Amino acid sequence: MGEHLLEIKDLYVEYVTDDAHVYAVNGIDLFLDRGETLGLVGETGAGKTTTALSILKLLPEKVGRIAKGSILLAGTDVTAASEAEMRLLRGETVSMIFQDPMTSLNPVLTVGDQIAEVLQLHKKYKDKAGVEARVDEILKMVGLPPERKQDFPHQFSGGMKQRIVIAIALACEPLLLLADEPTTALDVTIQAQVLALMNELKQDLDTAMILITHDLGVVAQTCDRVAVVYAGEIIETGTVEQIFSGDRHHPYTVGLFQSIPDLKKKTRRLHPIDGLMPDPTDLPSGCKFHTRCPKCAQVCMERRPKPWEEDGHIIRCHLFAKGGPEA
Amino acid sequence: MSVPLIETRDLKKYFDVAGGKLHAVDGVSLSIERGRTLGVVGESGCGKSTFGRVVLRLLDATSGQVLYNGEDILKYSNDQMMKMRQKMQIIFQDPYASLNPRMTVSEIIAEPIRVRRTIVGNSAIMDKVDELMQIVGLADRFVNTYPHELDGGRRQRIGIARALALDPEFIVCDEPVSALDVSIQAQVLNLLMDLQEERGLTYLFVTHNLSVVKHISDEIAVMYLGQCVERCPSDELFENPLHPYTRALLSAIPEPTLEARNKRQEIIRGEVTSPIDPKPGCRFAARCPHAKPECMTDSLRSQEISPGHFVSCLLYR
Repeated sequence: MGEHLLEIKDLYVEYVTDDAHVYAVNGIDLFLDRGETLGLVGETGAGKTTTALSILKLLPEKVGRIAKGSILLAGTDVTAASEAEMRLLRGETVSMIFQDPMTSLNPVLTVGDQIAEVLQLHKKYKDKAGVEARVDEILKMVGLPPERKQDFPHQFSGGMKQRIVIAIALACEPLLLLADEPTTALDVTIQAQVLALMNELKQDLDTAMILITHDLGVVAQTCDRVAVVYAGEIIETGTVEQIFSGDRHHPYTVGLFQSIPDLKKKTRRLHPIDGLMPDPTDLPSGCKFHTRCPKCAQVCMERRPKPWEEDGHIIRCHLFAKGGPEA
Repeated sequence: MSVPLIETRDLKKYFDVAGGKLHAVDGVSLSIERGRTLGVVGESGCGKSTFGRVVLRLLDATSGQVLYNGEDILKYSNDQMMKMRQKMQIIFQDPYASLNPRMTVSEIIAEPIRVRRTIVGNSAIMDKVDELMQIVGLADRFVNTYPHELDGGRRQRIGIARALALDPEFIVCDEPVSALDVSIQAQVLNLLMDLQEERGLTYLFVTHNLSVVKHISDEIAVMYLGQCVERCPSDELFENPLHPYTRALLSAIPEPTLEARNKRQEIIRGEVTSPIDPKPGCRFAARCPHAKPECMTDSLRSQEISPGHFVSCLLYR
């Protein structure tokens, strides 16, 4: 049996400041194989981005720390790796596409230089000509004319900037790509272009991807597996088929789906989840969703549910623990 | 035929920019019946927000007419307009930027009342504020809090309460749920629809989110580069879209179902062209899969294809 490309076990991440202790990630387990796409879905503040930053070891210095757990990436334990080792991994083994293409590019460097930077750092090519040729090749790959490498970021539109960010991320053909809301800042027609491009490139390069998003539509179109995150925990995970069909779901997943207006059916009222996300400095006891859950029972307030599993479909809810909630 | 509450006729708004004239709104004629919702959809930069603002006269139109109950409010004097504004309000997109951080929740909601003096006396005003907070679902305990202490959903409720403070007839909702998470978005949409039912409000609902606009609107207008390319009843637009842009827009929405997964998408190439001094002809022609030579030259007119379904495209001439 081969090992997983990425394996996260029981990960806890905290942000500690003088006046608050934020529990951002609370015991996440996940794995990813080569060429696979995992969708990480959840609302603002659920801990999706924090999880991605932990994989890169880019948590804010002094404030953020991995409290517990391990992250194995292509055989390296990220939690124990030194900064020098991480610098080798970043860009070459794992790279990230950030949410906002407008602010993740350097405004005073040409886009050609920015793509070349990652190639030079990882010493992929011996001479300047080799680097230049690769820059042209990558630009063509993401659908931009190579002549435009002399241009600065402000001369491009939002969709084109996101293509450049993707080009930088894929320059060294990483094994794992972390995409943090790559299309949220874009219009739908441009979003469709970018998603199609990412799918194509992923197939050509056999790159594994973690796609962070709150858009269930994007997940349905692009992912193989899905993990639903709530208050720093994965409350349900499985293949797209298991999450988008079937009748066994975590009440939070059900609530998420009912919150989206359906394009096909005419519904007069939506059925949103009551209440708000819990404050990550003061999380509820037991199941973290119990304060908003329509099916909350006594046990939910007291104990954290154990995972229920069937064919890789995992749900963390007392409703599924051996024939319903125990007394 | 009854007079629509709001009607625009050939409304235009051009901005002077370095490169020439930016055609933000270019000849839009739309109408909304009392108690109904018109959704305006389009991508960023298509002029939908500008349209909402010109209708309220928050921006002065370059030419055209805005009729409120049949009267052209663009001709109104400042005094007349001041009275008019009581009936027309706006809910802004960003609940983080549209509330004064130095005012408490009750001060924000009471401000329109104090400015217009519709209610006199502190205790009477506070009663009204309490009532408004109850209507939009804000708990009493937030009366003296400041906006930064609240989350996005609650802030947007303050924005809604403020818009309702003068009992308006007409509200422009400019992307009111775009900054919110889906579960909170659904709560706010339900609130807006309940308020419409109870108070007979008329909405102009501006958004880029097609599933939201379908849910809330009776009629939808699709805008592209300052022009309305298609307008029809909400269900009709999704069942029988005619304009190539509308079709591309609809097929670009990722649907949260597995059936849609393997469906071939009609991805349109290219990006929105510049709205500065646009070329004659159809503005979508450069990206349109059905473009013919005459699309680049002929001027377009909106045509009624079936009752209530208007489209501006040479395919249907």
